[in-house]
Amino acid sequence: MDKVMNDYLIKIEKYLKSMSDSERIDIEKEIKSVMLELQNNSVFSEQIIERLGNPKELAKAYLGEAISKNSKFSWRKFGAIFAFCSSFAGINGMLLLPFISTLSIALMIGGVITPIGGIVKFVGYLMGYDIAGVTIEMGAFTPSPMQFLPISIVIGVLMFWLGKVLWKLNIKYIHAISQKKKTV
Amino acid sequence: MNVEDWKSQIKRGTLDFCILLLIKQRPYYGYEIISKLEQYPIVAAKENTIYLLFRRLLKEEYISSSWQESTEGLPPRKYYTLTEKGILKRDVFRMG
Repeated sequence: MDKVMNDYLIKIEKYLKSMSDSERIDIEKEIKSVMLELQNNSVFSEQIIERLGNPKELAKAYLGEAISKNSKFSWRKFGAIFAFCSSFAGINGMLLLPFISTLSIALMIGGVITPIGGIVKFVGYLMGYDIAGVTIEMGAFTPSPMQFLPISIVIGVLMFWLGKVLWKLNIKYIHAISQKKKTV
Repeated sequence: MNVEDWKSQIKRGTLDFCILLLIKQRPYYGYEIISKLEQYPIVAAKENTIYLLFRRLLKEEYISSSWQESTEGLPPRKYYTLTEKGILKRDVFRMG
């Protein structure tokens, strides 16, 4: 493992920092194994890194693959999206993606909080309290606590669903970017 | 989709099939597969493509992998084998 290959590995490591440890270690083990294998077959280090491609491109593809492997949500993935954007996504991605992923999370959280608010208000109403802060004003119409409960549930479901859709779109977009410029 | 994207899609699909075909016979590790494919220019591909393809096939559960330590001087090797789902996929490819 000479300097050329070591430098390559260090570069890749840098870009993959936001991955989970186990995944990053597996990828590094794989790349090292490829390099040694090629070396054993008398391929020069310069050729080896040429075959592996630009380390930034390779890391981008690995990271994109790891992010888009499923559309499940996790805070780690949220962080990885930010890391992906700052290294790889270009101007559009740097503005758009973090914004959309933050928005999608806000919508999902809001989608959960809103029906909770509706339930709390309704329960308060049943117990004789009027929790004035929790309500929605739709033009001149302010729903009563009884009306507010189903409204809040509907709004909550819509918000949550919208948040999920945005999150999935985000993932798909990252998948598309990470595949671009791949020379087959 | 322009012609380049389309060609690249086709090549990727063909590569998928070739890899599944090879692995059906016995477990292969990455370098073996690349060397084998090199013999056929139409599917020859570089490491950066193939290893990401493996990752995708793994994620889609068509193949499974395990690291094997090798004899002295040789690096550990990641062997790939076909899963049940992979066998079915291979058959679907064949028929289509």
